[in-house]
Amino acid sequence: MQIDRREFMKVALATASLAPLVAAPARASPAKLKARRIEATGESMPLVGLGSWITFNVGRDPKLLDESTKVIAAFLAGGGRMIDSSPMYGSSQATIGHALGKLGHPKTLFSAEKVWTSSKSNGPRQIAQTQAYWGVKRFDLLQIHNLLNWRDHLETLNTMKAAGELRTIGITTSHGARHRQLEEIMTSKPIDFVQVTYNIVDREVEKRILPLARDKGINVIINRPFQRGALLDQLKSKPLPPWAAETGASSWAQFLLKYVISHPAVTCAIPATTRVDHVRENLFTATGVLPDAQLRERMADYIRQL
Amino acid sequence: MLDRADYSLSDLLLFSDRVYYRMFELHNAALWPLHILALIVGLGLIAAALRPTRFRLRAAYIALAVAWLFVAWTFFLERYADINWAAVYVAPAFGFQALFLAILAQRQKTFEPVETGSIGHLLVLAVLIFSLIGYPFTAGILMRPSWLSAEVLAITPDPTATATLAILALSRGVWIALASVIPLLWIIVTSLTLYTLGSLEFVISPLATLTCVLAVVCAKTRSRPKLNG
Repeated sequence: MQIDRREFMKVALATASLAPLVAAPARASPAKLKARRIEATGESMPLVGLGSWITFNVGRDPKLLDESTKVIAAFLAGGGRMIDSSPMYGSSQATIGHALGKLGHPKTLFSAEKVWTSSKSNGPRQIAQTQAYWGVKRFDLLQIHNLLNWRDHLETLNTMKAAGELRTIGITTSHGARHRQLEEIMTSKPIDFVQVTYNIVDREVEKRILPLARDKGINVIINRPFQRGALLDQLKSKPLPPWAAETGASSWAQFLLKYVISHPAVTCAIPATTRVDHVRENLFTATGVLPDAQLRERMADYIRQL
Repeated sequence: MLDRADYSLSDLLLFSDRVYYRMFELHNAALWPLHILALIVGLGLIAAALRPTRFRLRAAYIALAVAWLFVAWTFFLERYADINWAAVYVAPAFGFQALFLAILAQRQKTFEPVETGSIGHLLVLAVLIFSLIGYPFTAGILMRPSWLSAEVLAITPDPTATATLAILALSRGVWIALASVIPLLWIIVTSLTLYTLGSLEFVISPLATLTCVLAVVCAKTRSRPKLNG
């Protein structure tokens, strides 16, 4: 994706005005981010997005709101587009809205939200509230969170999409137990995105979900690429393999993220973070070499042996 | 809203330990200097427990009722609900507990306290003193990044719940047992929260609760004197 120079300057200036951001060693150039095509809209999406689970749930804490704003500013200035949240994530939606307000609502943003309620009638109300939190008139993507009451909400979202109140529709699950049901929906219903858990040790989706998504032209968002940080905690005392450079990774975070985004069916991974240097490193992972199928298998084997 | 099979305990933890502790820091800052009043209330509870009379226990119940209502409003609705949507469901339970304690305070038969000087009585005093002084020391100075995030009796829920169990342990009866249900449930919730956050603090409230249970068990074996007042 080519980012408009004026838009880039807008975000960069907004970022600079927030606070002097510390220079980080891993810094991606927006133009060099690898991207994949969104089938429903034809636009391209950088391989690394930004999740908001836990990290942006900071309430009204002014200090933490400022820190979250810096993370979002660095993400957008670095060429990132997709920011994902949910009504389930506490105050994360309001935090994102706060940051976007400070940053002047950059046009490059791809807003990905969810509907999460068991009541059909409450769905539109919840979506309107979510739009108010973000300060946007329509979302680029609305997903049904964890398949909760998916039939009713899919009807609502289809109606909204037809009316131009929404650009694309998706369904999410973080649980392998619901993959069979997700497959049925992917096969039988017109959806644009699925969001699933995938990382170098949770590879269940490689068997059926990812191949099916490719067949059906459904874009795939990946959550928990670091298994909520647990993988990084487990690996931090272990050495990178001597051949890590072949994967394009120079840290465990890059190694793990490269594995996920190099799968050809994956559109975008959405690691969450509270740190500017981490968001830059995540974006940097979407530049340079991506491992091929053979190297990916070697990476997974190495982790298995550890 | 939740399909139990879809969520693990860690799925339900919506915030980091940093945000959780910062919340207490902001809460304490917002309510200061009400902590001085809370300290006086805590000292009053200890005084009531030292020589329990019907009048003193009734006053203790009313003070605790006010504390539960205050915590329901200022902590759960005004503060915790910002980072945890479930807090809006906990607040009414705390409000109900306040009402329950206020009603119990009006019942003549509520108060048949344990024998003063008994092991049970001493254990109750220990839990009360811990709730007032030990709690902010451990769940504050010792185990949190900043002492400003300390848990304070009548200001935050955990020491309020343990102090309530201690005061309830001074009396007997079905109604007293029923009045212990919400504090016990809260202690389970808060302990699971702290456990999932990876904090050793998760043992504090259950230990205080076990001490209260022990107090009740010890006190049962002794005869109970008639009350004055």
